[in-house]
Amino acid sequence: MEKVEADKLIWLTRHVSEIFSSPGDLQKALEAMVDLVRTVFEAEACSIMLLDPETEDLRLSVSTNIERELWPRIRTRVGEGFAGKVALSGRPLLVRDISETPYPEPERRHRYKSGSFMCAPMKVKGRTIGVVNVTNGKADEPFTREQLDVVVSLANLVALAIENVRLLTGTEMMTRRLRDVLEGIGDGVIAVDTDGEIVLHNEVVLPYLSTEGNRCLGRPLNEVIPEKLHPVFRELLERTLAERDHIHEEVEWGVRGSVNPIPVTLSTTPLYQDMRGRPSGVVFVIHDMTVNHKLYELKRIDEAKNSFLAIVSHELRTPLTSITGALHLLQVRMQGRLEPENQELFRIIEQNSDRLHQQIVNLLDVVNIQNETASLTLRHIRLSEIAGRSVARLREAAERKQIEIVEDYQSDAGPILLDEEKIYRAIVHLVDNAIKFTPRSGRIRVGTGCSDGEAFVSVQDTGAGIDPAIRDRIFGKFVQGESPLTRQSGGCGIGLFVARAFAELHGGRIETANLEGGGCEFRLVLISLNLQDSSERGKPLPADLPKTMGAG
Amino acid sequence: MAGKCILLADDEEDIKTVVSMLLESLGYEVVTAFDGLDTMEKAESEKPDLILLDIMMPVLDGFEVLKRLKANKRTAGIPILMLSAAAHTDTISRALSLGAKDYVVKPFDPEKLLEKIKQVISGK
Repeated sequence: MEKVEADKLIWLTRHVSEIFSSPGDLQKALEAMVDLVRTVFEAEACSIMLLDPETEDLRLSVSTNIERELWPRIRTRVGEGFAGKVALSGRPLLVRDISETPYPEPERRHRYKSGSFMCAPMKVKGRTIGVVNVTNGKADEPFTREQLDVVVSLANLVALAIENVRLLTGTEMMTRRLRDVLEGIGDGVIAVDTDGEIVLHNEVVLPYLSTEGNRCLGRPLNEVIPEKLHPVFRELLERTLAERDHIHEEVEWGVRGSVNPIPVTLSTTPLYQDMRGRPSGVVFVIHDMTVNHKLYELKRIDEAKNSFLAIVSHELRTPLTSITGALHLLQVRMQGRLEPENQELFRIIEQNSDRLHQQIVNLLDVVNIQNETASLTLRHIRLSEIAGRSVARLREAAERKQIEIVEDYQSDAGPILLDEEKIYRAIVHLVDNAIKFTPRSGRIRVGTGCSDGEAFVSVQDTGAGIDPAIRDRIFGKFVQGESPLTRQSGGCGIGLFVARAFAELHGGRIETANLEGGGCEFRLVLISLNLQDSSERGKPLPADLPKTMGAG
Repeated sequence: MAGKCILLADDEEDIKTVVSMLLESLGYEVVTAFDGLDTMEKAESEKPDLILLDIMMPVLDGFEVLKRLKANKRTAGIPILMLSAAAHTDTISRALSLGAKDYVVKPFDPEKLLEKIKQVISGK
């Protein structure tokens, strides 16, 4: 080779190396290179084609002669044409005169001024990732072997540069993904090497550590974790490295700014640098167990409550059963043979047993309401029927105070879906309340009706009205109205509390109003599902009708 | 009610006394059991026309007894009326789904109890 040529080649190599060793856009570097090559070799064109691994095509990546927009459209299959053959064989090709070869087709031959052509494979780690094409030198000077050698060197240089960029981008993406995962898992992650120095951690773990300025990479773990936990961590570290296995431990972690230590679980995993040999470190995952513990506590308390309730219920009801049973038998056996005084004594036993029973039922109602374990057993029944039963039950009590109870069920709304037992108890509470607060010889009116699509039971009395200021309070569990009558009336005030809760379980409510001329009205208002029209039966219930089934 | 035999299972002595007297005064023959195991044995040996079954009993509770009685060919046909202080709807439905014919909550109204016994024993 002539010295001039040799110098040109050296110059070219140096400049292309410079292009690829400076930072910047790879695409721009490739374009600069092909321009430089074309210039120095006085070629008609220079281009780079890259292998698409999925389709096994060579795609045009840069070209000095073809319009940029066309680059993505130009492809050659591996094995076809000059470029395809070079990509397949991995060996460079020098064509001094294209007319001597079968390629390209005659129609395209006119495009080439001379027939000279160089094609060099771009190889990295033995793999061909593309080719560099240089077309048509000076008309009377075909390309030489030496020139081909230079192009081969340049091609490999480019291959290395491209491969580096790919690796870097891939690595960056992987790193970003790992970061996202580390922060997204919600648990604290901290990894240490075999010397106990921190090599990796996520943001979530920072509140657990005592780090000023948040810098902890490279620091010994013991510097940033509470002293109490040093032994645990050391043991976990040693065991994980020795057994090469996951280990799990529950500890309490004292954290700055928190009064109580946080219950956490520590899970370890060995960290491997490569697939053979000992682990190079350990990853600790710190999981906050506070919520788990709270849930567990709540469950325990709930279960304890329910079994306590069941026991108390049983213990109160069982002796009462013996009392009422024995009393009944006595009354049957002594029918007609009892003196009035003894009859009175029997009556006292009976009525007070009944009161005791009522109190047990009331108390259990209150507890069920508070625990939200009350359930509804629904069936269709008229409010008038239930009201009638309630009044019948309390007539005797009313008579003792010479209070007259008047019933009016003419405007009854018809069968409604409700829990008969609960509504019965609610109405009993309302009537009982009326009797309590109505003076002797007073009057109580119990009626049922319908208004604005809602069915109600109304209990009116001629007793003390309700001071509006304390109206809401009387529905509380242990409050009575402030009128002087309260002194004379006994019993704790849970009746109204229960009545309102039962009304609300049905999606209803209790309304109160002071009546003109004295007295008070309580209304138990329920949703009216009027089912007198038989076509209404079987229709699905409204979605908002409460039918909470107790948890038990 | 001549000749009808009722097996009464309850661990409470007083309740057994009271209910036995009530039933016997109406002509029923009454056999009593004091725990779940005793109930199983007496059910097989006496072959009662009805079993009044409490739930809270030692050794085997009422539910266990119910399950076993229904699983045993020799006793599966005996109608069972639960008599228990447990009043929650879940308890009641559980007993009924296990095969009890009806459920009476303590303390009970004697008239109602007698009415239900009559219904169940005559196979309503």
